[in-house]
Amino acid sequence: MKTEARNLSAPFLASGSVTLGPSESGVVDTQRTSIAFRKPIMLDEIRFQASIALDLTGNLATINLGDNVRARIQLGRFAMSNSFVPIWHFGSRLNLEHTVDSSTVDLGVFRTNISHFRWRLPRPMFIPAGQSVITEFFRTPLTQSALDATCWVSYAGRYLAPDVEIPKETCVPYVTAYLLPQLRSAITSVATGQSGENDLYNPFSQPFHVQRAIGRLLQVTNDGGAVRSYLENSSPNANAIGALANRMNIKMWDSYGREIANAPPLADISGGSMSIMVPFNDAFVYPRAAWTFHRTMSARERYYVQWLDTNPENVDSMTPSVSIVGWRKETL
Amino acid sequence: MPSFNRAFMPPKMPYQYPNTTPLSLTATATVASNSSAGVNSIALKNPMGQPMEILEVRFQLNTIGYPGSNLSTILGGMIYCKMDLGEHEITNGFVPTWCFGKWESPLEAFVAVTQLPAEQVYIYQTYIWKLPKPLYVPAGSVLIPTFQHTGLFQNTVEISVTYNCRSFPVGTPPPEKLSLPYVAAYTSKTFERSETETDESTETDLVNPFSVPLHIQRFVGRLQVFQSNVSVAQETPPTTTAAGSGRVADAPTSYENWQIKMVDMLGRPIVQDFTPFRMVFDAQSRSWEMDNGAVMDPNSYIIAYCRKAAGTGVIEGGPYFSQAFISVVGWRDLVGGDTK
Repeated sequence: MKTEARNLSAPFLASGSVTLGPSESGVVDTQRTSIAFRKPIMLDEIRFQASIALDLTGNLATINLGDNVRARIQLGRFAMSNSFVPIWHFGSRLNLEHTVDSSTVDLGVFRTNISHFRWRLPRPMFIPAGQSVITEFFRTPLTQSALDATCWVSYAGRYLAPDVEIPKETCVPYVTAYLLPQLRSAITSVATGQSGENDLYNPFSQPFHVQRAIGRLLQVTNDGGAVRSYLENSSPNANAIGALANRMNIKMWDSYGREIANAPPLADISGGSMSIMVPFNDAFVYPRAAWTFHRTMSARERYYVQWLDTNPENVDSMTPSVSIVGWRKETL
Repeated sequence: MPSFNRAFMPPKMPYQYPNTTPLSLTATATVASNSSAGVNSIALKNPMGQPMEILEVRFQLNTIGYPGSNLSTILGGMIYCKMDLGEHEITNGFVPTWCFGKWESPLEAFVAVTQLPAEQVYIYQTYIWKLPKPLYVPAGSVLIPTFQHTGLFQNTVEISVTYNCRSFPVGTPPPEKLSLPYVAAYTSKTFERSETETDESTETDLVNPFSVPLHIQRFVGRLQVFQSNVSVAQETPPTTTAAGSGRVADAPTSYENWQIKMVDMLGRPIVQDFTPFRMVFDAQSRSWEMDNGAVMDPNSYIIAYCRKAAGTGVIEGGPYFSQAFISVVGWRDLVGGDTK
């Protein structure tokens, strides 16, 4: 076997972490995530893990950190996200993302909440030798807890031979998200909202190839005025099928006014018609939290999302968010 | 000079066979604790006497749990399997049955508890391995599995192994090139919960013993947490329940306190620094999926370094131990002659 062909495509994984309190941000140490021996790699997957140990003597019992922890990812001058995007908005759901471990200590009871997310890139991305993907994490403010969370990111891929021909262009994945400025509070009168022009937007002067749209519903449960949990709403809730499942509805359309997610209008009692919005968990079916469709957005094209909460006075609040995941070509 | 485009194109199927017939073959074995057993290999032979391709292997492990409790036990790390196709080894010795495929769903492990006439706990676990490439089995040959019960669990285990195949029509010529799957695994020593421990694999664990590259389908990473009497063996710690129930979780013993680093035989990093176990072997599939052209060099090995931090505090029902299982699953191409 010739020397230059050895380790032609050996696998590679690098990880790094930061510990953040609420409203703090931090950049993952690039020394840990840089590729050793200055070799080029093909990056296939980015993984996130966030964990927090909650004191169970407090009110907050469970938290899925997918919304609370946000990441901004960059490779040199190539942005891979439109800003800080919640870490559950990069990849679709495959399986259980959130687990809760408990340990008993002499002084009290702690419960470690661990949230895992995986983003299989829509196209493998070429990382030139000597460069590294930079991830910056940010945590949003959190009521009921000022505890630190440990945020990990891993980059998984494979080495390329040192003499591989550097491509003239590479596929750079990109995620753009529509997020509410803050979590909706319980018993709110605000029942509807709409994304802005810079949310689900292709900011590039070239086509953006959409892989999927991801939709997440953060449900904040309250108990006597105190927040008990931040978890993702699951429509297969035996107590709430037909209620919580259809409580949040959405409508989507593009820059040209073409409807993407909507339902046919029904006649109302006055003889007119009203547009029915699609239940959130029908558009972003719960097992995947995603809607995979392959479409190319033109330069500067955008999508709009309007949401409607049919029961905003419920003690449990629901905050929707939507992201578009895809890739574009960039010249190296 | 290798071109960039070819570097990341996925491998293609070498041939296509039309007019095949689906076929499912099942054999069973009963393995007592601390023993091994084979299966009736006739049951795994194509009854039509024609060549076939195996597309998927399934293991179903059934046992009865400890009465008087609702304790569940995970068997994938206690039942091992060795597979051979004639002179060709498909596994590097005995490999844990949960180290072949990725974690498909929480229903991988199912527990049924009956209350009458007395409480009985029935445990069913299914592990599925979709082969990286279909395995061609010549007419009259059998892929022979042999099972081993490590003895960590005292009850007998009934094992069913199923091959999902397709049978070829009479007169189908054999392929010019064969792809043989291969699985090599490493099982760490058991670490007691309150201790900080390290371990590493040897040169004969995660190994490619062949003189051709081993194309990697995935790395599988599993963690087992169990009590000293193995009345409870879990993969991911459950949430706390009432005192005395036995199903007690422990965050410091769980995967978060395990860290992994991997290097190849020349010391080059595969997992660059000590990384949380579930950041390497993704929590949603218990694996690191490849299918991107990654290979192990011929006659090479990977060393996995494990490190576990000590747990804190006191846990009911202890002492508790944990153990890591890592495997590399892939295939090699066999083109005429002996490639060993």
